[in-house]
Amino acid sequence: MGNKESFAEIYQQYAPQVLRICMGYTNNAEQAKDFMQETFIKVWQHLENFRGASKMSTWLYRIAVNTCLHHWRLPKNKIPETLHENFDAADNSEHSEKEKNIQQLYKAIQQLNETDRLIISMVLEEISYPEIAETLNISEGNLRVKIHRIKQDLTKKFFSHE
Amino acid sequence: MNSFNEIEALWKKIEARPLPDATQIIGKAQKNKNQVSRKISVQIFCMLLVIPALFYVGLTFQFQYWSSYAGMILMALCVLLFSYFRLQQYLFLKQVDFSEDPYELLKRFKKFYAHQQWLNTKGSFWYVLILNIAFALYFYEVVYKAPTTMPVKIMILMIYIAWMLIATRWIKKISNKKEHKKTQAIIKQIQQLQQSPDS
Repeated sequence: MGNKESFAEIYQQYAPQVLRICMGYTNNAEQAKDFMQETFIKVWQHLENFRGASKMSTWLYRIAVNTCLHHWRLPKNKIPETLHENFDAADNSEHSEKEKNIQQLYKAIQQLNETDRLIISMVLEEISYPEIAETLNISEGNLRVKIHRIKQDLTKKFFSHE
Repeated sequence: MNSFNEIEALWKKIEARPLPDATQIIGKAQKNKNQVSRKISVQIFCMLLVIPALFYVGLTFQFQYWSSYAGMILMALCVLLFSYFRLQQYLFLKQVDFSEDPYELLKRFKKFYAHQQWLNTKGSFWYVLILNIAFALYFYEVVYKAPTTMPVKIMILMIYIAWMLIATRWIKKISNKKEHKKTQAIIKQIQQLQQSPDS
């Protein structure tokens, strides 16, 4: 690892997934892209130091999660409410039913707290529970309890708006 | 029934927006650049062919009026000046390297686009105007003073006017539109390169 080719492969493989996770977290396309890029800049900078103690994907998700949480904790980077609506600002008439539902889902995810948002985004990305637990540095048992609660919470929030 | 499975199914439908792939974008930009520079080089070549042709005409035929020589000199100057501007554009495109800093490249390409627009509008207007004055001077002896009948003279004039209208109103517009579109595409591709992590 550590060469340009490896990075290109990692980028091709994980960028769409990381982008969706960041999108679930921010509900703002531009900010999600920024977070994704920042994640991969960090990956590029630290790729040579990656020892393989954990899976590459776990290491990458952890960077992505930390990037999102770090930005959330900076007051200037808190996403204003108006930005959460950025997809609605686009021409609604052109939105298909599917797109409307997706926006509704993003809105429902936004109502969760920041850690829950990242957890559910990773669950929806079908990342394995042990990997999510390792990424977030919590026990798998604890994670399963959290996921059960988040799923119920999200389902309720999503369908209450329909 | 409202369940989490529906949410999972919906999430799977989300397409991550296409992420810019620098190699692919550079390939497209390179192709557009080559097409524009090829077009410019062909145009310069064709225009410069006019110079030996003018020399040939000027040295072969003995014109009686100074206006014929003045017309030919003006034509040559017009062609040389326009070719010079086009050569500048060609040389710019030749030295463009898409692997350099996209921010700097974008600035230079925007400048190039402004120059291209100027040359294809205002520059082109003056080129056509002066070229027509040159033709008028040249045709004064070649057509007007020539021992041909009036209908033939009128016909030559009509053909000339028709050709000028077709060339400037139709062919030139289509050609410029294509050229501008390609430059716009290159600018857009450089902007995409700015977002690419590979750049």
